[in-house]
Amino acid sequence: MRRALIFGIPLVALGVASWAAWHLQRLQPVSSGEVVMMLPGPVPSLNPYAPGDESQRQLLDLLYQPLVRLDGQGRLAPAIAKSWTWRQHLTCWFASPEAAQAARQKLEQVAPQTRQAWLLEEAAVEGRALVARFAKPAETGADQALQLLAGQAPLPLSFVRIETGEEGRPLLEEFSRQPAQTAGTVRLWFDDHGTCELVTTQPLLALREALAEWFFQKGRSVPRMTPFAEVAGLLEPVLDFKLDVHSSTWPDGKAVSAADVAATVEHSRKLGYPASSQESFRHIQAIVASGQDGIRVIYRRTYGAALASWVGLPILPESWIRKAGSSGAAPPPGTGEWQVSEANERRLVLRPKDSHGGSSLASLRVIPAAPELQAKVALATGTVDAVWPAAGSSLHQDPALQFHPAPPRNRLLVLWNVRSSRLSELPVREALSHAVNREALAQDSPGAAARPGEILFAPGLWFSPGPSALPLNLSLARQKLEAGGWLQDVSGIAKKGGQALEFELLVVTGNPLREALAGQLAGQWREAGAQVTVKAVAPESLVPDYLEPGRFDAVLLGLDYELAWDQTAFWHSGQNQARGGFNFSRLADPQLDLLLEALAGEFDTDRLSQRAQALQDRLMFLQPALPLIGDLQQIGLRNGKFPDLPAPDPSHPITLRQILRADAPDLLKMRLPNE
Amino acid sequence: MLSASSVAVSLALFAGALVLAFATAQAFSLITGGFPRWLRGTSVLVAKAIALFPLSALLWSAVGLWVGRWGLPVASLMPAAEGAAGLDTVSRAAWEIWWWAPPVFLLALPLAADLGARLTGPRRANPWPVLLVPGWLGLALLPVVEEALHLPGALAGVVTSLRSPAAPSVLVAVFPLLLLMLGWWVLVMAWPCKPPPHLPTADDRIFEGAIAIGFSPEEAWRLHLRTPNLRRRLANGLSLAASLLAVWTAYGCPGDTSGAHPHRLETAFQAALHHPEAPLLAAWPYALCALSLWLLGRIIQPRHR
Repeated sequence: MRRALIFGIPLVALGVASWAAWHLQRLQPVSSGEVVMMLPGPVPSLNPYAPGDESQRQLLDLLYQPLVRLDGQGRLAPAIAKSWTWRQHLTCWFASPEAAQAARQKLEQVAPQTRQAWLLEEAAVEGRALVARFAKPAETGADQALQLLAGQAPLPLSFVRIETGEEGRPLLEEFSRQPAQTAGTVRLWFDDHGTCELVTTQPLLALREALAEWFFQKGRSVPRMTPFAEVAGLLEPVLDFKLDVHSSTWPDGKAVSAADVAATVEHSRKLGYPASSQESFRHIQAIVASGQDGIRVIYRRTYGAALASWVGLPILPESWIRKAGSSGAAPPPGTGEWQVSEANERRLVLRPKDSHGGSSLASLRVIPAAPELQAKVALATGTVDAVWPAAGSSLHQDPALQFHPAPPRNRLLVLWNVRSSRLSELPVREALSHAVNREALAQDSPGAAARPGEILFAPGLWFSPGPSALPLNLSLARQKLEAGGWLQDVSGIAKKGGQALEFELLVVTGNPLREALAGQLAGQWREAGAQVTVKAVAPESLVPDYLEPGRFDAVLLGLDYELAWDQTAFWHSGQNQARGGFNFSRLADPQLDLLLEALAGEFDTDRLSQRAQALQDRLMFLQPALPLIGDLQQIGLRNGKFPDLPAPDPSHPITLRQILRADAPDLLKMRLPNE
Repeated sequence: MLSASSVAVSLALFAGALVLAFATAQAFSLITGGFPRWLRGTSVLVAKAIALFPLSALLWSAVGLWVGRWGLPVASLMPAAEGAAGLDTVSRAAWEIWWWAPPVFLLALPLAADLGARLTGPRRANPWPVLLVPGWLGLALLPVVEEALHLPGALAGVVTSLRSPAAPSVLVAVFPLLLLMLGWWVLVMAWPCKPPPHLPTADDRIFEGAIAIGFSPEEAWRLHLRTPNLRRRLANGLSLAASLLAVWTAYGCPGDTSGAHPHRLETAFQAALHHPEAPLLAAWPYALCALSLWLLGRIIQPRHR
């Protein structure tokens, strides 16, 4: 009995354990219908406007759709909107509908060739207003038509600024709805601070009296009114979207409406993000339905980059925004190809919607980060298919993974103060650019992978120009300094007129990676003859104490790439003194201003690349900034799980949506840094 | 953080490993009992070598072979697996068994080897008191298993705390471990077992013989017992040093300020999934060193006729 026990215990334990292992091995996931993805952190709450990292951004891309998105080639592609068109509306008001009708007849009498030259599509009478629609904005046809209509005595339109503040907004809106005002008030718009811009056909004196009486009746002080323009007709760019109402539906089956889009914009403006869209949204006059499946966005001013604000902006349902938009308790429903079927702190399960045939997968299971060993075991046993490793993780070296780069999102650059005593000389800035080894910076970037950064636009977009940094050439850097009179002394420091080439490089505190990078930069510049002191300043004091007053030589800045091609805020001379402008380098170049204005006003997306290239060429000539490195987020895919994907290529970013689609489209093409 | 559930996990692991190790060691002792003397000695040497091999290296090699090379599951290391939830009864049972089996088997391995060597040695000890030291060894190695296999035991943080440069104190870090060791000592001492019959030891007989032929007790001790006692203590010290070296290496060489040893071992452990032999190769010098210490102790140990 004792012997049986002695031999039995180990043998039984071994047998039971072997059976358990064999049984579990049979249960191992072999289904190709599910993808398991491990995040770099906990399961997120998925705020569509504030993704915490690249993995969340890509998950949101599955759940929500914008009106327009970027395709695999970095070009604009349909999403909720299957097409979009810019038009120009010219609206003139007349004393009576009959007068408006007469004006319309006048337009119709224009010779067909002239109409064609003007790009005039149609003219319609709406009450006392005549609306002429032109095929393209920012063309001369509308001006010529307006000249023609001048003989028909259109009512003059007065633009009045009324400073009421936020609290006066309801009063003004109510005022404009008064029967006596509805005919005269043709446009009403409020800025972020509640200041109103009113466009009226009424005489200014009558408007002033009516407003004063209205505010007096309401027991409020009369606001300050400032007339600032008078025109014969309103020229308004109009962006028409045609929606894909069959496939772009909410989970309850309802189609996306103009109200959803308007509510999304209002919600976004209230929250203040995405920040890149705010400038464009400020110029929206109205968002209205256009036919059964159309949305019309009317802008107050000519702003070609307005289209960019819609690219990638997730559209949310109006009903959700009204109910829960402020509480943010649960993620809003989306129109994306995938929807959440289970969400808790242990997992997030996404399943494809029935209406989308894009994916052959049954589900995507997202799990929180686990210790590296667990991740490696999970990869080895096939229970995890994709991983977003945290920076510095040893998973980056795991041979079981193939790492594909995600699209670039931001970059680090050195902004020069071109009014600084040392850096005001162009040869000095050029020399410092030539002295920087960006590849070494990218390779040595502590804790995170990196790629070369660009000064203006993310590489891979359809209008992105080529590389924007001067190549590494230390001898050329020294030559340029010598040509500029900066001669190296025995200690290797360049001097001119007894003064050394020394300056401060600002960097924000609390970011060891940037401080290390600044140290590396200082070392590289030291070889060219510049003595650089790295100065760490508190983030909250960087702008008000250093950048705005111009009390700096150079600053290391991290900036997100923006799709909007309006770059005036950063480089236009008009942004020099204005508080709130971002031209911290104090660049003032008339030619650059023209190029910036032309690019910002460009509606034709096919002509953007030419304009962007011209702008970048000018910036490279002026050297107001030195692009360093950009982020390189990577997703690791288990070897063999996605056999149809091409081999990883740093110049071909990939998204989770592309990975999960059975028929993955061509990947985003990027140029190599020195291509 | 000690909690009832974490203590329960640790105790269950320890108890399971001890039962398995005790039975295996007894079986080993029975089997080797019939071997010729030289073969029995070799078996003891092999068993001791296993007992003194750093457990973390054995563990990582086993995990590397099992998971990395064969792609087979280790339940506690699979975060993406849904656990036992959603499985049928049989699969759930298999899952639970396999959650416990690897740590129990891996912890039982050095215990069984150590116990086997003790039970197979020249002097057959009474099985129950002989469990005291292997039990301590098992408790000392428990943190290694809990940490490596990510088990929610009470000692899971001990190794990490000891290796952390910010660890406040070694005593604070190993306090739960010391508590369990004390508990184990109390249990073994208080266990109601029949005391072995008193038989005079060789020292007793020598001492009595010396007195009988006219030596004073002091002379008898000085001439016949002092040196063997010293040698015995030195041998025991060497054996203890061997065990401590094995445990220290299994913990990843905490306190090594140069960092060379921890780095070497950690690198090998991290490579285990792709190179299962790497941990064994990295750890064998330490094992050889520990075995040498133990062998030296065996050589020094006085042999009684």
